[in-house]
Amino acid sequence: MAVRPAFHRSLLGRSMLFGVLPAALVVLVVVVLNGVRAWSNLSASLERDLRNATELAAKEINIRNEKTVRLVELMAFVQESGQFGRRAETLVLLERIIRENPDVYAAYIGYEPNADGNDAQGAGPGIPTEALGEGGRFYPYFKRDLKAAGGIRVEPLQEVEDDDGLWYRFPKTRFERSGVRDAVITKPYEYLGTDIIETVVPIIMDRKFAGVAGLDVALTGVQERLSTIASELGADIFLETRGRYIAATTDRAGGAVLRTTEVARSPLAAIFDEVPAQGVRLEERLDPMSGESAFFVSATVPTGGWRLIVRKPASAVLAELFGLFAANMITAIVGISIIVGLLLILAIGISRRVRLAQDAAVRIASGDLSQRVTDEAGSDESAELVRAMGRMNDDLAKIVGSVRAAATRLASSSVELSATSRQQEAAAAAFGGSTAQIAAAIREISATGSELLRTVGSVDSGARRSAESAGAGRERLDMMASTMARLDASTGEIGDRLQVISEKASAINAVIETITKVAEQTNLLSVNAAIEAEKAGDAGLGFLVVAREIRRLADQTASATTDIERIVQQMQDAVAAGVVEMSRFTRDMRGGTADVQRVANDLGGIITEMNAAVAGFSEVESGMAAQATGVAQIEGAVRQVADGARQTSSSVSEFGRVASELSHSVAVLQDAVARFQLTAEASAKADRSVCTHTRTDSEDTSSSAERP
Amino acid sequence: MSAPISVLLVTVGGKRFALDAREVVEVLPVVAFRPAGTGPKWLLGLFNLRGALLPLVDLSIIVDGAPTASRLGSRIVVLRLDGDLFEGATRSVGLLVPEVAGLAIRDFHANGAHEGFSFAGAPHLGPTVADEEGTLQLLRCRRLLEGDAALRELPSLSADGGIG
Repeated sequence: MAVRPAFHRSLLGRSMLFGVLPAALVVLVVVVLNGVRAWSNLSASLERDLRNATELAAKEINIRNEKTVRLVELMAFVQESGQFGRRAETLVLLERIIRENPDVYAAYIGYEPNADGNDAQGAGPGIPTEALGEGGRFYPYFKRDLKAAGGIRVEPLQEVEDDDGLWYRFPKTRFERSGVRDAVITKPYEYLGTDIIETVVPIIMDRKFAGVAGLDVALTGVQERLSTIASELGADIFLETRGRYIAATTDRAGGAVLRTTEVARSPLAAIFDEVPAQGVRLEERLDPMSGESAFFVSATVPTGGWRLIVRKPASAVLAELFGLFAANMITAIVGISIIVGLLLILAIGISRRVRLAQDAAVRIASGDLSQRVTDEAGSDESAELVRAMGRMNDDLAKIVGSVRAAATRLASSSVELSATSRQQEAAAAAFGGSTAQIAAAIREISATGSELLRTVGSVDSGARRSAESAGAGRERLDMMASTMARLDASTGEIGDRLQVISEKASAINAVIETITKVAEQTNLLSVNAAIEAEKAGDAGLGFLVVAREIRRLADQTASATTDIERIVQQMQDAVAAGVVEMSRFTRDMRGGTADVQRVANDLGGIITEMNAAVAGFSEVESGMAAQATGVAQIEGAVRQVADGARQTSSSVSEFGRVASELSHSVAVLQDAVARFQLTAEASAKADRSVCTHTRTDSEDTSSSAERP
Repeated sequence: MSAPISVLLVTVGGKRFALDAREVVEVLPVVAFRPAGTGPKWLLGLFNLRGALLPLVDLSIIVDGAPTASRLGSRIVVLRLDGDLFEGATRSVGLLVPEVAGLAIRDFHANGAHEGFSFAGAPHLGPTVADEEGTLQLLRCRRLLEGDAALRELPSLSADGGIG
């Protein structure tokens, strides 16, 4: 199997190290640098936003103030330009102003006593008593009242003691002293139970102070508006004029209330001291109210000279900053992940193909061509590499297959060749052996012939003597036969006697059995008698002795009968053996008698034939001599044949040696080819070709084998 | 207790054993018996002793483990036992033994005698002495039957005590 390098040295590891890692690092550095810049940008822009928002809030308040001033100036202008003294019309106008300006809490006109000369008229049509002050002075104050019909109520103006004539005497004295007739915006104060700010303009008739026109703005309205702005900003807003708070968005029901506090005594006094007359001032400092770091933005509202402070805790700013920064970073991380992922897919693909190619190469190097390299569908160089490995594998398999087929054919040919040569060698050797045997046999025949010739001579003389002896023997045999017949008769008689003895022995056995039983019974009786005597104690002592004696006698009887039994048994055995021996002897005797008779007959035949043979012997003798001469001639010829066979055998051996060398060489070649493993298909193809070729080769070999 | 007693000598499995002659009623040749069929192996059945049916027990199985081979010398030793075991009643039982050698007087508590091994499973093995013919072990017939609850419950068949 292919050796897998450690991950950090593998293709995938390297592409990670030199491709993915640098790219990721670059992207990371860019992201970090961007992040740092974005951080400062963001904080700058947040500060800018805060500044702008503060400026905007100041402007809005200014516009409101200006609008109120314009409206009051308009009211004064209308009085001065003809409406002065026309009380009913003035009342209608006041009511209308309130109705059409939702920011306005109250509107009023106050005349100097009898400035229009109409004080004496008193109430009349369109002029209710509530619009008149002391002595019929025109003194109407229209204010919003949800309880009144139409939501608006009129009542006479009242001097409030502690405000030091802020809304009436101050504009009057200022005009009479310095001729200034600008609108006056008062400090916040409580008028008849409502916190308000008044905008007052003097009415000047014939260069004389004739009265005032004014509008009240309720502080609750300002507070509401500021709260809306503050919640949009995520900040708190404080508004001040003339050392008093107009509004503070930190004021909540049940919480700390700044509106009723003097600014100089409030925690924000130091900050209000530094509010610039123009423009916006932003600083980050410790919030004296919460003790935490906060951004303070301050501006001045030109109309009315109000000062505005927007406070935003640094933590809120940071939270926004972090939110934006986090979004930035998440985008960057997603980007890095996508880049790394794409690079990884590429690297894994290439490394997988390279590993595929490596496996194939290792397999081919080890000689295994049996596995096909799977086709790689890709179009890049790595896929082309895998495909090339596949083609190489297939081509090699084809080449090795054909080499192997050729080697196999060669091997089978050489095997057949050597087999054939071995057969020939064996045949030659066998032939040589046969000729040697033939030669030996001939020598034997020759020797035997000479011997035979000698023997025939002596047999001739022996035969003559035998014929004479046979004649004498035949007479003796006849005598022996008659003696045997007598013996046979005697043995039969002995057998009968033995049978009688056996029967007697059986009778003795029966008697012995009876004696044994009696002895047995006696023994038992003596035991029981002894037991009884034992139980009888001293009285039974005598009897015990008798019982023992009886028992002893019984035992002796038993042993005597056993002896008799044994002796009778031995006798019976002996008799039986005698009978068997006797009958066998008789049988043998009878057989012997018959044999003697047959021998006598045979002897007669022999005597006749002997005499005939003696005559033929001389003829045999002359034939034998002629045969000896022929045998010597054959022996010479056979020796020549044997020499030829030896030569053939040695040349066949040489041929066999060459064939076995060929076979050995082919084996070496096959070993070399066998290293390669082919697919089943390729192997089958190679084998098929081997079969066809082997058939032709064997035919060739067999035909050539017949030649030598 | 150290006194010679009269014993009946029996041979079981080539080993010599002694039965107390006072407990022996008589010795009989082997007679036909009615096989017990079920029950312990050593309980051979019931045999008829002059009209009384007694249980027949194979001593060889108890002492030697193998049943008594049928042979001419085999005997039935009739024992008569009494005592607490049978609640005062006298019971008789037949022991089938391979061979009875006779009566003898032996002292099982003489010097040189062995007290015998006492196992939980074999309370019947008594003391052993050596005499001129070899070793001789006393069999405590009462214990022999005490040891087996099965036999203790059986003898109701011979409740009358058999052979007076």
